Amino acid sequence: MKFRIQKLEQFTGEQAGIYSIFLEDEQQTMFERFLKENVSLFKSEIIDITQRIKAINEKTGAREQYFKFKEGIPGDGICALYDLPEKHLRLYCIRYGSSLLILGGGGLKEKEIRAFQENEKLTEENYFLRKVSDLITERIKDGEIEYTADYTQLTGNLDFNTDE
Amino acid sequence: MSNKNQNSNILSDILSEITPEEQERTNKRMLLAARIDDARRIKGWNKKAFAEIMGQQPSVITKWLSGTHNFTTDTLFELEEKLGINLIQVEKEGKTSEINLYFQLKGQEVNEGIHNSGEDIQIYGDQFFISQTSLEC
Repeated sequence: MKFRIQKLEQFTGEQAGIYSIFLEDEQQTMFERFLKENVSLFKSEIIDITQRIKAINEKTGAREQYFKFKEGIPGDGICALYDLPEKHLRLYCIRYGSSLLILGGGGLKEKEIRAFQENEKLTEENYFLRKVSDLITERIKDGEIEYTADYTQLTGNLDFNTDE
Repeated sequence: MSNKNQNSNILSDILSEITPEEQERTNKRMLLAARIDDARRIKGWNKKAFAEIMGQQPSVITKWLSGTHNFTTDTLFELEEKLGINLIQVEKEGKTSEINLYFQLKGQEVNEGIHNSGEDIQIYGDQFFISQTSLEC
């Protein structure tokens, strides 16, 4: 699979860089796919999520308190944007401190399900993000990807091909 | 790999639907949560201790700090007391003093009962009052 870590240029603030994962086959980012999949049924939730990401980008940074952890393995940065129990949507992210956030995908969290592993769509989105996190970590260790001085941007080789 | 992202319009469309007022409300809610969490850390309380001090379940504290919670004023007042911070400004800043000047109008025609309270001038018949409010910071 070919994908690229892509900065979402619509978020122009300086508190945290906002990225997503551009999927070559689909010609869209995972975050855009999440928006498209859910905007018709849950528009107010989609708008609320987008507003919170904009606030993170422009005002607050990606403070730990705005996210739910225990969504991945320790140290992989996988988390979900906090969602109230009565809300329907979950959005997974990879958080690199409070300065950089990669938005993944997500989907409908069925209320009767306690763990995401019981939901096929969420499991798929979560495990793909774990894989992406591993690949980024590897490149950071190898020096192929670096942070800018303010830690809000990634530079270097952001293109991946898992078929190679 | 192509840099072209032909589907980015959905994000732009959603962002364009957000009014400045809505965004400002979200910003304030998240900044308020950040302020509470900063004060908690300064106190040296972990979330469990903070929950106990506030008489709440840890899950409630997580919700408060998430930037999504719509606080009641009573909860905010209690947070102010426990954390020793100001979250709501209810008193006027500085000292307010009022000076009333009295003039007797002679030979001038003034409409009776005109009341320009918004402009700090009140006119009653042939008398008018100027109220001046000053703030000392």
